[in-house]
Amino acid sequence: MTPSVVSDELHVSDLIKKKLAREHKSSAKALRFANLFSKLQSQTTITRKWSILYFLLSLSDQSNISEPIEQAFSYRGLQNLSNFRNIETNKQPYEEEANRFIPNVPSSSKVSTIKVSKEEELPPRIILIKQLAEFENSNIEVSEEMLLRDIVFIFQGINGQFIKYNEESLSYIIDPKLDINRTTRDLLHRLTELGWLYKRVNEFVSLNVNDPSIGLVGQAFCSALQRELTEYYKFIAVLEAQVTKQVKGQQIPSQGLTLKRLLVWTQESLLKLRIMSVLVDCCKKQRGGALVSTIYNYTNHGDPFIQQFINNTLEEVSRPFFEMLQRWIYEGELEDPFEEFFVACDPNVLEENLWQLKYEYRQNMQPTFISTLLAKKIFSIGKSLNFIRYSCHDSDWVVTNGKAKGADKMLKYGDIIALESSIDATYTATSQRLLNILFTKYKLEKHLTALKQYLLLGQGDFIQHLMFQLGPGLSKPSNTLYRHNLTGTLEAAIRASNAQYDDPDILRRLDVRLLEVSSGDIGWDVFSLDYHVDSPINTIFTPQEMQRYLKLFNFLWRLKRVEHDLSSAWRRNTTSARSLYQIKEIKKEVNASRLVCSEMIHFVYQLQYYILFEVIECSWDELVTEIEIGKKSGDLDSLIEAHNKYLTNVTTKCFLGTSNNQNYLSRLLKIIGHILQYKNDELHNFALKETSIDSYTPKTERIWGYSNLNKSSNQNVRENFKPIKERLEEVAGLFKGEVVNLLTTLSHHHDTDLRFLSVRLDFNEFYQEVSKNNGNNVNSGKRMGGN
Amino acid sequence: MEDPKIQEAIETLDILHEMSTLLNTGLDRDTLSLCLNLCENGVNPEALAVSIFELVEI
Repeated sequence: MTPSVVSDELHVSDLIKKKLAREHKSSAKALRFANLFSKLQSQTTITRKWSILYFLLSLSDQSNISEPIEQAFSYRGLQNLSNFRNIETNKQPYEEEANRFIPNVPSSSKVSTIKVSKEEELPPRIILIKQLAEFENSNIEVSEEMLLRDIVFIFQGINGQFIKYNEESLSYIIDPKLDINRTTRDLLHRLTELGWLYKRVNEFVSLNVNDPSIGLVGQAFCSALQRELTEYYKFIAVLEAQVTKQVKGQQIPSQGLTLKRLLVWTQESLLKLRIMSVLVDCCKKQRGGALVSTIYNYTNHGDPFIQQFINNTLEEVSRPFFEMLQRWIYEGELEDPFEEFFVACDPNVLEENLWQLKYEYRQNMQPTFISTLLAKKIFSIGKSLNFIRYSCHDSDWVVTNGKAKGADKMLKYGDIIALESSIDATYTATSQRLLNILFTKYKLEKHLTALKQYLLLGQGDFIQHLMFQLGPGLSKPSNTLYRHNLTGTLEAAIRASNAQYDDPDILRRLDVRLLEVSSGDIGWDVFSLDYHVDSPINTIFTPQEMQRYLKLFNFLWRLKRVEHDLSSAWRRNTTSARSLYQIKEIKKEVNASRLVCSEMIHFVYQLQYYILFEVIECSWDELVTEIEIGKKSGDLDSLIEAHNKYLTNVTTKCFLGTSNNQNYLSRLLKIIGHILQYKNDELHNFALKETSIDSYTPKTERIWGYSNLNKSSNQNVRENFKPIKERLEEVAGLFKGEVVNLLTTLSHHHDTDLRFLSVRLDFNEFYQEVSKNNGNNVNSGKRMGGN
Repeated sequence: MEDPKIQEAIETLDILHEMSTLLNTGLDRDTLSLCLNLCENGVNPEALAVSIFELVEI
């Protein structure tokens, strides 16, 4: 196709001038065009000037014909787009077609443009023209500077011209219409990662930095991140300066910034931001010690760079934690407004429960770089300090000690060994001090001994005396007992025994207690000795422990009473032996009852021996050793534990432990009951009566109050005696049966001490035979008693 | 070496752009530059004008 005009630029320019003059009815435009034309003529770059001029002319002609309206608007400088919309309706199908066409154009086609920035605002038709043009290869170079500038914006979390953050996909998206090749696109994608990471970290920091609820450690974490971000900003500033220079063209391209260079330079920041973003991710819900632990987990990373970075961060993050720690171990103050420390304090707990309940160990807030053992020590130190201050009223020592130690040291992360050693030193000093106070000022050891002497019946003469004094009174119904009478008896017992030389402070604490009275109880059931403990030693002698002491006392007291009864029975038997011999009719029965008595005495003696020597003394010895060790290296907890162990030991071995041994206890109590029931007295009284009748002595008559009118024959004697004999035989049989049962269970007990007890009770295998017979005949026990 | 040439090219383009606005062609600078390139490469100006116009119509 050849143009329909001569290829003469002058001719074309004349045509244009005429056209302009004709259309606008003035020569102004034509003149202006003439000016421009003369300028154009002087230009050398274009070789075919006529061609472009003719092109312009023909285009102008055509648009004049078809779209006068648009021309008019366009002439006044209005956007073509608005016109386009005016006539949109009739062009709809075409436009749609065009829009469909645009995305299909491969963006990576090897075409470059000078300027694409205004692309968004251009009316679609122009884009189309451009697309058309792009299919023909042109040779204009890529402007990397524009992309660089964009990327620098992205680094700061700001949207660029071509690369924008997409909220839906949560990623940066490069304008698909952008005309860059695949390599550059890839490079851009890799660079945008930095911006993406920055956005995340910055979001976290700005969200939390002024939020007090994340706690001190959380705030320290934010500030550490902030500091890293500041470093990053510096780096960005340098980059930006470089880019600005380059855009202005002041930089020689070979030394300037390129996308590839940028990628290399940002590697370090990228790595840092990556770690930060990971930390932000995993620390979102964490606080306090848990947060420190979480960050600490990353110090095991193999990369030294990352390790270093984490360590630096950790040092900063853990600073508030260590400040709390310092306050806690040197002053005993818990300064933890956001509950981040691994020690929790319950302000509602009263002072007497300070050691057990006031402070609580919070496992999840314990940083992993502090071992559990160390954490327990730290926990104990602070508790001891508080205990010394509030319970032992020795705050001076706490203050001076805290000042002396805490002043010169500054605990921080990274020096775990120093931390450990200083904690160890403080721990030892504090525990020593606490134990020292307890043992000297509060005479802990004396209290322990007193409890053993009085409540565990260690002080024999005192107990003997008490038993002797109280015995008759306690047989009465319990509601006739009065505390003041008993207290008086107690005082008397103390004065009469060696106990009077004991510390008056201890004797003052000794008291009588009457257990809850239920109907039918006699004095023996409700009487109990009590020992008053007050703060601070009640930390060791807690109400629970005292309850166990009382339980033990009760049991031992019963045993003692049985022993007491049996002894008096034996005394009676022995003293009256000679006189009872005279009654031939019941000689056999008397003898049998003596045998049963001595059997019972054997049983009770062995049991008492076992409890006093094998159980109490052995456990006591262990306790003393442990206290000695504890004085050197332990703390109050170890002391409490030792005491607890001692008591548990004693209670279990005395059958007073928990459910497991209930069986034994009930059996023992049954046996004791049988022994008490075995009214040897009855037989004795009867026999005495008989003798008194025989001898007709007025003395016995006076004593026993029997009238001598009731003279009876031998036959009578036997008949009267029969019910007594039967009852005695039955009780003796029951007793024996129980003992055999107990022995069989004891011999299978896992505790060696208890197995030895069974051996001791049955040293000549007397009961084994009984049990064999028992197997043959259930009533054999009864017969044995009779024989 | 390159700078004056580019300078001149830009100047030429400026002049042509002004002409194009005088003549109400409705072309922007970029398009104009492309068309100029086409003309320089020997495309028939009349045909180009027709095709551009047709595209604009769409």
